[in-house]
Order: sequence, then structure tokens, then C-alpha cells
Amino acid sequence: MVIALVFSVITGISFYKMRNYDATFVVREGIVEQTKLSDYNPNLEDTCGNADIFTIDSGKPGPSLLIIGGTHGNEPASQVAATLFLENATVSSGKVFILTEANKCGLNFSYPQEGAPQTYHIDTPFGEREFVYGARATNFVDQWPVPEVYIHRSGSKMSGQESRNLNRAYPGVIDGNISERIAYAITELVKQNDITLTVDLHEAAPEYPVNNAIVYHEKNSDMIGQIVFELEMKGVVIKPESSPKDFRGLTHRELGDYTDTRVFLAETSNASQGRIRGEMTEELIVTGIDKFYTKATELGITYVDYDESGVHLNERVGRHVATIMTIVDVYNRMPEAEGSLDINNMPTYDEIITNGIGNYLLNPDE
Amino acid sequence: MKKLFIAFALIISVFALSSCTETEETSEQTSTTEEASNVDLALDASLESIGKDKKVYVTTIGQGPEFEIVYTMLTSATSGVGLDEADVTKDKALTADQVDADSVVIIVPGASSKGLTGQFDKDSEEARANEFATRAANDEITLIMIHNGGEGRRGDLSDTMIENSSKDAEVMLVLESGNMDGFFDTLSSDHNVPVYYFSSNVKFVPALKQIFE
Repeated sequence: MVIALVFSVITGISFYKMRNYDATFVVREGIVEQTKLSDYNPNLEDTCGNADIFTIDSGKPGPSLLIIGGTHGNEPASQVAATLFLENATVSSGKVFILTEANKCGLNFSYPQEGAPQTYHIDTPFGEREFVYGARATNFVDQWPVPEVYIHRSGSKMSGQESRNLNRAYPGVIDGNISERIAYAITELVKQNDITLTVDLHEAAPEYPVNNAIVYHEKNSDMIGQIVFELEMKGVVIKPESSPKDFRGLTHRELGDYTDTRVFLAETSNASQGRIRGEMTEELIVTGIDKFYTKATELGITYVDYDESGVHLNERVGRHVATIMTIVDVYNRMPEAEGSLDINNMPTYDEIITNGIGNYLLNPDE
Repeated sequence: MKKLFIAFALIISVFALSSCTETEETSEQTSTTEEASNVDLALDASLESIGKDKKVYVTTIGQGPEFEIVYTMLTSATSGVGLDEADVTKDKALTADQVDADSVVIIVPGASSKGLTGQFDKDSEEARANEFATRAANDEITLIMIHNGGEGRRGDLSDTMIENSSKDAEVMLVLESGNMDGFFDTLSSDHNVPVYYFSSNVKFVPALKQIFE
């Protein structure tokens, strides 16, 4: 009885700490403005879903960009890439909106029985920087009960578990479940600010076919060829995938249909969220090294080549950063572009690979 | 005893035959790999300028999005061939009766399950490719097949579309990762169409310049 109580207290403290974890991002004074998702959906007030919206506004007219990071808490390249923009980018024309924790309710817990570490650490010149490793879905505690079947507002039926998936909830419901309320706020953020470009950042298990890929809404057909081609010239080979019209609730479908934004979704390959992986460790999250995925590649059952060197977070973040910058470059040359969106001070793919992401993260203690 | 000896001899023969077959397969695979490693080469002189100053059409058969990349290769002034956009028509639903005589049609085959919806299905796409092939066989158009979707645009759904798009083409330009099983080598010899392999999209550009400059 005493032993059980001791374990309960220890695990309880651990769960409590994670549930109340408050990530620290460096908000550069005079460069970054901070608002909340509840500004776009008051029903998010006092909920875990009331994430920060960071804005870097040049003050000059021009196209705008929304970077959605942290939709799924177990896809770290998404959040870290968004953080790199938050902590490095300057904008000399146009405006950039950044969500580093699009679904905070997926970052306050991790899945039971996965053995996932609650945090992972990135080496920086000032020591280790900590990031939280969450779950793909909204916390059960914040969204309960889970229905047998989730019926999206389009009428599309999905597995009940998808009701907790932010990226099945778009365009959202103002007073729906917490995931739908977050999706509604993000859709309103796009609509009310007439955001020109939206890039939703994700990662995928290596055995998932949409990997190292960019999914685009059909209204971006005029950009996709240039984006893929120019990325390849930067050393980033990426597969284009068109957004299926009957796959509902995802950013690349619903934001494209319901708003005027040009929306893309980018995927990199993350061994730590796959089913074939071995021990779930911080090292796996960061390095992507896993002997079982190396074997799986030899057997031809992965869509991304995994050798003994893994797929490091540097590479995954580098791909996301390069993808966003290329989308912006290509858009700036479109005939419809009124002015240009000029984002400066971002490292290139090669620089991120060479120097490591830690060199581009700021010290939260300064 | 005699029966036992015959049975033993039979077993030995079976093993010997199967090991012969294995050796042959291995040798064939090695040959394919050797050929596939012979990539990013210049085209034969006979293909130079076959598309110069001609109207160009780009379409997909199978609705894979890779034809968008080919269009960029052709029209990008900085990193592609630099053709004038007014001279290059890109249309995912292009039909053979819509193209001018003496024009160049580039077909980029590869089935996309996401793209094959609505008006597009396997049969109609295969038929559309056949119509282009017929015009090419009648020397009314110059047909070029580009497969730059790699392994992801291969398989049962794609392969017939690829064959229909290639059989009367002047040349096949292929991303080498799509030839993992020697499929394009077979197509090339079956239909007597030259095939060239490239290691990336960027590497197609010099070959396209040879065709269009």
C-alpha cells in the first residue's frame, strides 16, 4: 500500500508538472507582438487551447504568412521550425504570424504506454534548450468523452479518436469541442487578417507514404512546380501531393476552401512517432537514429531511407524552414502578389545542417 | 535403392536449376543497376533541337502533380530551359484533338489516387494517352514522355498509363528511382524508344535544353 502510494505521488507530480508546463519562447522586444487565439474565439478563454499568436509586422504593406507549428505535439520539427522563425526572422515588407503551439492541449500530456519522454533537449551555445514532447491529439482531460464516430461539420465520418485531432477539425466550430474551437480561431485568424500564405508544419512516421512531402490545395497548382523545383536546387527533395477533396477537416483542404489563403502542409520524417521504432528516448527524438528503421528500410517498407545516421532534427527543421522560405520566394514572383513578403535573417537549409538548430535558438534566460 | 537414387538425383537437379535461375536473376539485376547508374547523360545528337521553335504542350496522364514540375523546368528563365510561357500550354485534361499539328506534346504519366477523381479515371486516362500515341504514330506531333515521379508513380495503376504514353514517343526521360525494376529498360526495348535516366529533376534541364534549343 505504501509502495503504491509512493509511486502514485511520484507519477502524479510528473503528470502535474507536464500538464502545467509552460514553454518559454523568446519574444524579441520591439519586433514581435503577442496576442491570443481567444482574440479570434472567446470560447478559448481559460482553456488549454488559448495559445499565443506571435506577429512580426514590418509596418509596410505586403503579403502575409501564417506558420502553424505544434499542431501535433509529437512532431517536434514542426514546433522547432516555427520557433526558429519566431526567434530569428525580421520582416522588411509584409507580415508574419507564427503559432508555435497551435494545439497546446496536445502538449500537456503524452500518450500512455508509449514510454515517451516528456521533454527533449537541444544543444545550444548557452547550454541545453528544453522543449516539450506531447501527443498527436488533444488531452483526454480537456476533451471528454470521445465519440465512437466523429462527424465533421461537413458530414464526413471519421474514427472517434480523430475528434481530438486539430488537423481534422478545420474550419472549426465556434462552440464545438476544444479541438474544433481552436480550429475555428485559426480559421478566423486567417480570415480576419486576410492572410496570403499559410504553411502547416508536420512530421510523419517513416512508414507513412506522405513523407518528405508538400501537400497543396488545388488553387496552388500554379506554384507547386516552382516550389518543388527550387527546393530541389537547395538540396531538399520533396514530393508534391495534391489535397484530396474528400479528406475533410485538414488545413490544406478547409483553409483552402473556406478562406482566400494559399495553404500548404509540409511533412518531414520522424522515427520517434513511428510504430516500428525501438526504445523511445530523447536521443531518438533528436537524432532519428533507430536500428529497427534501418532494418525496415533494408526490407523496403519505409518511404524514407533510414541508415545508421538516422534523420536528425537539424535536417527535419532545415527542410521545413527551406520549404517556407521557398514558398514565400515563389509567391513573391506571382503576378497576383501585391508587393513582396521579405523575410530576412533566416538560416538556409545548409546552414542549419552545418551549424545545428541550437545555434539559431535564443537564450530564454537573457 | 534405385528409386531412392532417382529421387535424390531429382532433388539435386531441382536445386541446381533453381540456383541457376537465381544466378541469372542476380546477373540481370546487376545489369540493370549498372545501366541505371549511367545517369545524367547528354542526349543523342539525333534528338537535338527536335522541339526548337515549336508549340509545346504539357499534360499528365494519371493526374500526378509532377507535370507541374516539368512545366517549371521548361519555363523557368533562371534555372530551366527558359521557354516563353506563351509557347507552353499546361493542361491536365489536354486531349489529342486540341493540340496543333507539328507541335511537341510532353506527357508526364503517373497515377495519383487523389487526382483520379471526378472526370478522371484509369480507363479514360489510358485512352487519352492512346490518342496522343496515335497522332505521334501518324507523325502529326512529336511526343516526349517524362516520368519524374520516381517509385511513387509506379505500380499497377501507373504502368499501363506509362506504356501508353511511351510506345510512340521520340524519347523517354526518366527519374532513375522509378526504374527500380528495369521497367523502363523493357519498355525501351519493346517499343524501340530511347530512354535516358536522371538523378533529380534539376538534371533533366540540360537534356530539355538539347531538345528545345
